[in-house]
Amino acid sequence: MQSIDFIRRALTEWYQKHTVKAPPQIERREFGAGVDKKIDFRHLKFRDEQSLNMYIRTSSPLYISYSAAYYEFPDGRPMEKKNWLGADLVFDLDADEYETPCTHPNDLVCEICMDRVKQEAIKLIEEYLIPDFGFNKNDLYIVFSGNRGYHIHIRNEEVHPLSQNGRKEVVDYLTANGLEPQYLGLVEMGKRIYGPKLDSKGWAGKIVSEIYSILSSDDKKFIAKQLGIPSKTAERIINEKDFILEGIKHGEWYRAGIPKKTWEKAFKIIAMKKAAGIDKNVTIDVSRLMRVPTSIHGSTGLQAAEIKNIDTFDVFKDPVVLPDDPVTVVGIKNIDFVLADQTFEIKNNLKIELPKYAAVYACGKDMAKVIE
Amino acid sequence: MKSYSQEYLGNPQPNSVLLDEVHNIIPMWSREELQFCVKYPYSSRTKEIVRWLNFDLESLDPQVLERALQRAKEGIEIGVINPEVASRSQKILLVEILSYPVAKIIVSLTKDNYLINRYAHAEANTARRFLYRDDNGVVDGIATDVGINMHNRSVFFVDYLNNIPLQEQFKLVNAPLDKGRVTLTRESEIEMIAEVLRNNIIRDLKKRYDIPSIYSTYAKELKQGVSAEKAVISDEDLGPVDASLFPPCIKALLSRARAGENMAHQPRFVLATFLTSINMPIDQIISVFRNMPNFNEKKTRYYIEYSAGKRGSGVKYSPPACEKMKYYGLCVNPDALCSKVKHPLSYYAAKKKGKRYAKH
Repeated sequence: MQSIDFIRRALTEWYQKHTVKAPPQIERREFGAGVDKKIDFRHLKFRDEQSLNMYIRTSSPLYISYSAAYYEFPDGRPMEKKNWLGADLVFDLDADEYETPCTHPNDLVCEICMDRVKQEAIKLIEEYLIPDFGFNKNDLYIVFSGNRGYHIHIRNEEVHPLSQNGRKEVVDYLTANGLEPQYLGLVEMGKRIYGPKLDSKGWAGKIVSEIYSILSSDDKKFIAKQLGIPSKTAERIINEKDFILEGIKHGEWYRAGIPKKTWEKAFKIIAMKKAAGIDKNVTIDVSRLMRVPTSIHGSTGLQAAEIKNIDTFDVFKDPVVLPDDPVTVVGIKNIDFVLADQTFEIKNNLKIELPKYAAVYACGKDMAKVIE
Repeated sequence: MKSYSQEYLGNPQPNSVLLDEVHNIIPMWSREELQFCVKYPYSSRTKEIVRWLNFDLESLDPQVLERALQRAKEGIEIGVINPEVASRSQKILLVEILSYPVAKIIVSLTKDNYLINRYAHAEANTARRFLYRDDNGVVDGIATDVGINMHNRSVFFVDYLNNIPLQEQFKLVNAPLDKGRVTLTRESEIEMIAEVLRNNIIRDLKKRYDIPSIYSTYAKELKQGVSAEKAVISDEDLGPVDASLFPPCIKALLSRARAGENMAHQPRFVLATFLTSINMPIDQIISVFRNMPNFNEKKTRYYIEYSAGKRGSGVKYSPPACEKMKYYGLCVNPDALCSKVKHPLSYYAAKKKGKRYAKH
């Protein structure tokens, strides 16, 4: 038996007994399904949860995905015929986008990689989506992607009409792309430099509070490095700290005696530092398809699980839903992995008995194959 | 089908009112009030007055019809409308006010998306021009009138992003975003109003109403009147760029740019839009601006891509017509061909064609 058939069978058995949740307004969504590729067929349409599950049970796809977009005719093709009505706002964070010290093959669901993505997701939520964009925790529908990432869906009706360009602007905001100090209010009037204040909104406020905390330091090397100024200047700043901090709080940037050009540079350095990590991870394509929450990812056998609390979500336990009856596989490389609180050791050319969920994972990731 | 006058002019029964009579029976509006309505014919105050007039499309004062047709032409050809705001005559002011809903009917009846977009664009430009000259109270009032949902001068970020031109200074990353809302500056508020108004007009003009047949005649006239220009501006592929065939005004601007003169915004706009309209490659256009004292390649590229409709709202800008060029003082050394055309692009197209025919 081929590994792919084994995985399909395991998934189908699970789908026979469980129901995949229909996303809201299922009749307005486009679906895609795949076996050989992530998406072999798209332009599919289902009128309700039952017909979606019927399809999954009879065609046994390895991957099932749906559109963040709502259409008048989800099965219309080409795309223009669908008549786009709006779309959820979806942020897609994937481990592939971050650098980690890991040396494993780069598609493994690993603790270090996954922890890094989780931290980025939490940062996105707590530093941007809630304070700046004004969403509540309840507005954020967070889902494990089933592989190496997280999806944050915002399904509030009020974001549906946001245009493609508007979504790009949201991404630019998150990545500080196109940030210009002059438009944040940094100006020279006469010989004096004025600028944003500690209570300014948006990026202006973020940058001021960051600079404020850097200048609160007594370490001249640190200040010099963070702001990109000579350490002599940093020393002078430390000596006049109270006077300067009080000024910056109220937008009187001239008090630091630093030229406007230097501040402009410092603004950009700080913005890049604060924004780092969210880069490129966010979806702007309004017609993109993504994993259907509560379905199973065919490369891992892990469920695209709904996440109530991302802080306590355990990626090696919570999405493990397949049964644990034993399956014998043979290793095709030497590698260890962790699932459901157990470590499994795969050795090249050696047979090993694994619980089914681990066997699916090992086969899906090309670490092992099933034997006839 | 719902009738246009029912929805927009609020008229339940036919009621012939000639504006001269109106003048005699209702001296109740101050000149200032009417002037405000001329400037902002889509404001709630204007709608009240139009509703009060209770006129009927079947028997409209012919002066209104004439002015409406002219308004539509003016908008489509020049890209901005110049109503007689300063007039002392109540009748002229009323004609101007009524010309707005009627011009919308005429443009709508052409069922031509190009004309609809051009006209909406012109009304938005006109709004922008008046708003920049008025105080914040007026701007806030008009913002509400066109349907912008504002609290303490702030708007929901989705409304902001869907309606703000994507220029650097309006980018969300540079905006004061807090709890999902963007606090508007005077400038961003005016730009948003213009864009919302443009979208509202386009939406209205694509609706179909039951309109008396006389208006179709006007629509036909409008379509014929501007079709020659349209062919040049929007559709025709003019082939490879040949600078020797440029009209004198553009040649003059080119040599000023090459000489490194620090040109004002308007001439730069004319040059950029002319060159994008004839499909000169963007890198070549950038090099035209390279000698200018404050040249910045990134900004120039952004600006040129913007006017070519490759950024922002995707609106492709055309250079102004000859009349507007004269108004800006940019029409120089007109030659014989100039007197036969109304638009710098028509000049270029005519020369191109002449050359093509000469070869064959």
